Amino acid sequence: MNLGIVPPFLLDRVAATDKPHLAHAARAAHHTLMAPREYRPHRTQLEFSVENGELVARAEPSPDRTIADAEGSETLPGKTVRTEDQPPVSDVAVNEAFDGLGQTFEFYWEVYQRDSIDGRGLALDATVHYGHDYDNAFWNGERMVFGDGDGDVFVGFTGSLTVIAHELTHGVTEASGGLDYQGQSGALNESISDVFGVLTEQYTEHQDVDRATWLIGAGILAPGIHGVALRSLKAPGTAYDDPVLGKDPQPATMAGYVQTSDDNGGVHINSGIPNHAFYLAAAAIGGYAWERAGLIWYKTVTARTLPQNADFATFADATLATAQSEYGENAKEVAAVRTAWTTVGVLSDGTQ
Amino acid sequence: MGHSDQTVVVTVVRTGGFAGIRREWRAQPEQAERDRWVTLIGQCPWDEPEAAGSSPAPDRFVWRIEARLGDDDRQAELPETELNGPWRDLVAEVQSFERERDPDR
Repeated sequence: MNLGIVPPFLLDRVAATDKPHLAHAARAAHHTLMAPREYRPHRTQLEFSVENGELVARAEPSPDRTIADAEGSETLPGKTVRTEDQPPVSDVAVNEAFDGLGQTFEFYWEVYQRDSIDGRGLALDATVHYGHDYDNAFWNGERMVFGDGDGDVFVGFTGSLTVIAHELTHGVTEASGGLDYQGQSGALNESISDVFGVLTEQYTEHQDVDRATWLIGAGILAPGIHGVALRSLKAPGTAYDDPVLGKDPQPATMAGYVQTSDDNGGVHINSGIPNHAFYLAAAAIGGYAWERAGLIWYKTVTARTLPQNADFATFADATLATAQSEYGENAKEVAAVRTAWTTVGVLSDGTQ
Repeated sequence: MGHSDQTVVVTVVRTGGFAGIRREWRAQPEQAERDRWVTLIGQCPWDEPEAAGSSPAPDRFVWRIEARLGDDDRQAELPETELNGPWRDLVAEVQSFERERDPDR
């Protein structure tokens, strides 16, 4: 697309639309608006100011992305196909991965002043076209890896910003001390990735709590599958109901907690409970979810005070403590967080 | 070996992955195919303990494989990174068995 044909103000309008039938156009417009960044020759922006009579130069971080292509193999990293200074290539998956990494970087930097996954400018590497009909995307501790999907259930994973931000957030959690990937601590690990997955999308699309979809993985299910996404923070258990896949198994409250040895103790199932608690807190506070509810969760996760085997109640208490220190004991944010955790049955009335 | 008079059933369950969607595949081969399946099953290291000290990696698959040879039941649970060699061959056979029987899946 030529930047000169469509004026930027129009692209802004298209990019900001929440009309479902214009979603593709909105994404395209957004990508077009983002395009000039890809040609910037520097990964650090310099800002100058005068403080106490002295000239101070500040470096503003920017992402350092490298996308590789596994070409259908399971060998990592694969062949490098696009680096930070290079323009878009003909492979859509490469560009989507590149853009998604950049949008996630921007979210963490602009909202929480976190410089990349580790807070110290870690380069963002990804591999696309991993494996044959590979139905998954994951963060392996060093890079993001995307399969293409089998075409019958999944049509690829690079098209969803929530998927990319979810995966990179596993890196953030790990860099903050980690949460054991088993049982309740594993479900918290998953939930934190879902929370910042949706927040990255909401920030990028300028959506407040009412306009946001609160869905993880919208757009990656094949057309024949009966479902809108993989998970819903607003209404866990309602994302899909399909003859092949079955029904979305996520509970919204502790009454539906699933005991299982599959999936490392149901980490992708019981994450519905803390997911819904976050949604309830954010909805009660209102406005943009990343500003207050998101800040409370972010500070809780990155404080490095959570034990690796934290259970739901430990995490809930920690978010309450963060909210109190951030906003004061009697703030509405504290009440919203407390009500959210009691509504999902993690904390009982009268706690704290 | 005398396996040809035994019922052979192999069930593969995949959980986890980013999507957290459970998938299951099952094969119950005809008599003429049984010896080949018994060999496939026999090649897998069912009794070897899982790799010690490896904590589960986020969003990777977890595979549960069960084989029944007459009265002999075997079960193994493997993280995706351990699904190699004979395990991978067995899983691929079960998946293609089901695909051939039910091409719509």
